[in-house]
Amino acid sequence: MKIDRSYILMGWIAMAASIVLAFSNPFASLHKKDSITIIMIPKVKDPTNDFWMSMISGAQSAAREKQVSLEILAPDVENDCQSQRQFIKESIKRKPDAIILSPIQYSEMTDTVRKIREAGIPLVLVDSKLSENVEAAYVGTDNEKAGIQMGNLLRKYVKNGSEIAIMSYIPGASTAIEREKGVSKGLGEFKDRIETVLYSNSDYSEAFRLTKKLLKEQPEVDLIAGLNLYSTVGVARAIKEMGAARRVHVIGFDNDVEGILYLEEGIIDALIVQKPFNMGYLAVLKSLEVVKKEVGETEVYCETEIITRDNIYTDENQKLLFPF
Amino acid sequence: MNIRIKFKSIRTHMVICFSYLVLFAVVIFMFFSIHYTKESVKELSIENNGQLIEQVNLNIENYIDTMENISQVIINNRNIKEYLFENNEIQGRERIGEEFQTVLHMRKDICNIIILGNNGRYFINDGKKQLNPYARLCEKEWYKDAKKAGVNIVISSSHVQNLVQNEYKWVVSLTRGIINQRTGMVEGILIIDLNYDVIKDLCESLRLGGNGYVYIVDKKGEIIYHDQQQLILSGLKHELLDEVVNRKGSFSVQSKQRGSKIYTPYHSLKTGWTIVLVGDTSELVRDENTIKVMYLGAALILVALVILISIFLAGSIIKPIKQLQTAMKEVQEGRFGKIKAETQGEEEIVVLIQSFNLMTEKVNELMKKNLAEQEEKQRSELKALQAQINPHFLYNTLDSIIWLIETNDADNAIQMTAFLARFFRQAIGSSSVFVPLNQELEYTRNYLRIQQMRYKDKVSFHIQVDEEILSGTIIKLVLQPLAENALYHGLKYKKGKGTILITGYRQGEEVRIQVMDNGIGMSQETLKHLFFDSQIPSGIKHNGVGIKNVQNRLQLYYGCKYGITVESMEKIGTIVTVVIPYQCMGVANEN
Repeated sequence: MKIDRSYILMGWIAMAASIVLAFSNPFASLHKKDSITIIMIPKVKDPTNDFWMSMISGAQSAAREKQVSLEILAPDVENDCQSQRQFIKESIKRKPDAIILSPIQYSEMTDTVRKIREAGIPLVLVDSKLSENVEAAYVGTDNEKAGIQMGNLLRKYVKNGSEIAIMSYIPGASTAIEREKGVSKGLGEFKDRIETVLYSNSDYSEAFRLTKKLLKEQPEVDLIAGLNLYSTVGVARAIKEMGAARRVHVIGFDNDVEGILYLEEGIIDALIVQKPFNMGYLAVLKSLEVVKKEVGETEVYCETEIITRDNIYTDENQKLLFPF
Repeated sequence: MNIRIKFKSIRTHMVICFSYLVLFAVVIFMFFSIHYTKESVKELSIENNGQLIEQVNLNIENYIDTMENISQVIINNRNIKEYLFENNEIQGRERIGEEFQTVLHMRKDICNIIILGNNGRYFINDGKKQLNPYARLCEKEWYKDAKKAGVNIVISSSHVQNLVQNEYKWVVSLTRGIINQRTGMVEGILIIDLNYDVIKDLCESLRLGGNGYVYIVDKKGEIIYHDQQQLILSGLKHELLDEVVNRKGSFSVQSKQRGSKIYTPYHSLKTGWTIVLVGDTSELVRDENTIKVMYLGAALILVALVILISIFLAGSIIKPIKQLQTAMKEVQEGRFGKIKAETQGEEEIVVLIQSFNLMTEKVNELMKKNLAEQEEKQRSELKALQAQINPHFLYNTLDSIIWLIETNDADNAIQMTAFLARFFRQAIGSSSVFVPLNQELEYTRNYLRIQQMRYKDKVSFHIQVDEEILSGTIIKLVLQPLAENALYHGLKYKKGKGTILITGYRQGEEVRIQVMDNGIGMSQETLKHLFFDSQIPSGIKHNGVGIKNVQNRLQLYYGCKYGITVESMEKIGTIVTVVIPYQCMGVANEN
């Protein structure tokens, strides 16, 4: 009789367990596998700035594909390091699974950024680096390689007596240094043709002013390399105003509509264009790898594309130059 | 009862059998239903995808239709031709401007209406926009296609429209040649640009529960819309482009990086585009897991229920069997009819129990009958033996009387005859088998006295029996034959005086009565054959009825445990011991 009772007891327990199992929706947790949250802090979020908008949409595309929740915290204007610092602090408080950052300043921001690491949040840097290596991974353009690409292009325009001017942007900025270095490498034996290196300070009008001054003072300069968008467009504006397009060749970096206009017009001969969409996309993938602790390479470089008048409207480049 | 025996019980067997059966059934059921559900979910999603994609296509074609209609209206406008090919510039411009403005106001999805003459004349939207002088139109694929088609409508792939100065918009262009009626040749072109955002929004609105997406390719397999076009063009991602153009119906693609995807292409006849909807089967798989868990739960409940039910069920089947088992054990131990198996439960069991009951009753009856018969048989046997001893006694007594008369001992003869008469009246005449022990002793004493007279003083006897047992009963004519034996076989041939000693006492639950003589004794051989008539050598007379008859009667009545034992030694004497149970003597307590 004892055995009988335990049988019945076991039966009841089994039944209760099954009922609980069947009705208590234990797979609710299955549905919502703890979603990973990533906060991305680019340099700027400005609908007119194609480069950053494209990077953001690349990141969003990856987030959608990988079912990750992605939040963008960005200053409204570029170079607003004060609010970017604020965003970094805010992000740390929110304790996301990872932070993707594109630091505006090379060395001044390191202290703030270090706090991300101290809070135990993995950090992926995109586009720009910091003076100190605090990041788990970096995604960006290989600036030196891009510089070499540019140097190689410049070589084609070097004639007897050609002189080259480089319109860099911020002295000491890591990307600027790398690009300059690349250009010299790419020029190879024509390296010594580099007459001068100017700094536009990422300002159209400064670049414009410097170019005009340069062309007046050193008329032999017939090759100008703009190392970023501001420098390039500023140079192009000056050339256009001075009507020197035929004489002076311009190779630029990055693009916007104005840059494309000058390219179509023939003022700019070629543009080295980065792939911000891919950068954003890869940055999210990389941060996921970091979160899952299966990081492969810690440095991922996106290639750059050479755009000339003739290939603006190819399938590949249209999308790159005119993101929507 | 220990557990091991329990586990071998029918109940356990039944529970286990049922459980296995149900488990087996449920597993098969689960396998099929999960498979079926999986398939049907997949089919459902494919069907659903098909409907969605058709809707998208319908929307796109709707836009194209509108553009076609607008192009028709514009083409038929005389002003345009006049403006392009004649010199009515001022008047025409205003009218064209008005018409274009109306259309652009009405249809927000159209961003540009451009007419362009081979002669270089053009008109864009409101007429204020300038043509991009660096547009290099002739190098554009879509323009080349438009030119080739002549007067026919051509829908371009998606591209950046750089015709308008300072504007770079993503568009899909409808182009159509304009005929100069004077020459009858195509000398101009109408371009209507559909805002690409329209298509983009349409595709983006169709994101299927997170992972799904839509993309569009043209006849050549070039991307018109894809969310991640840049990745694909950079080779960071692979997408099926040329492959979908020629495929019909849904198909799934399995890849390591991206998992399993269902592609549902739709080929639009109007545009020549292929709209592809990509669904992620991992979402279906998620459903599948849910379904699996659900089925598993159901299966568990089922099995648990079955175990429970089978325990009860087995219990109700087992209960009567158990009762039957108990009843059988009772019968086995000889207790008939005390426990009747209850007649309840399953049909077969009821029949079984009824049969068992019937059988038990019959056996019981038979046993009783058997017992009665046995008793009857015993009694008649006893009677027969008794009947045998009576004449024997009579014969012996008469023999003695004759002997007394011969010796003229009339007194003794009379005494003897009187004794005989009394004996017959009281003992033999009575049908009773039993007599009180003292009465039996009295016969024996009388008998021995007569024998004493006959053999003069050659024989002497003593009787010493405990008072305690004197009032008890015993089968009659036990001691007299023994005394007679002792006389005839022991003392008769002895030279000189012999003595017979009869003692009786209680020893525990037994009563022992011994008849001893110091006669010639018996050889071992004779002793051996004492109880078997046929084996006795014929030379020895008068042995016949005596001892064997007594032994048979004692054992018939008291059982084989009791009876006579004989000890004898030649030339020394014989001891015959009668052992009977004290209980059977029925001695009253006060005696």
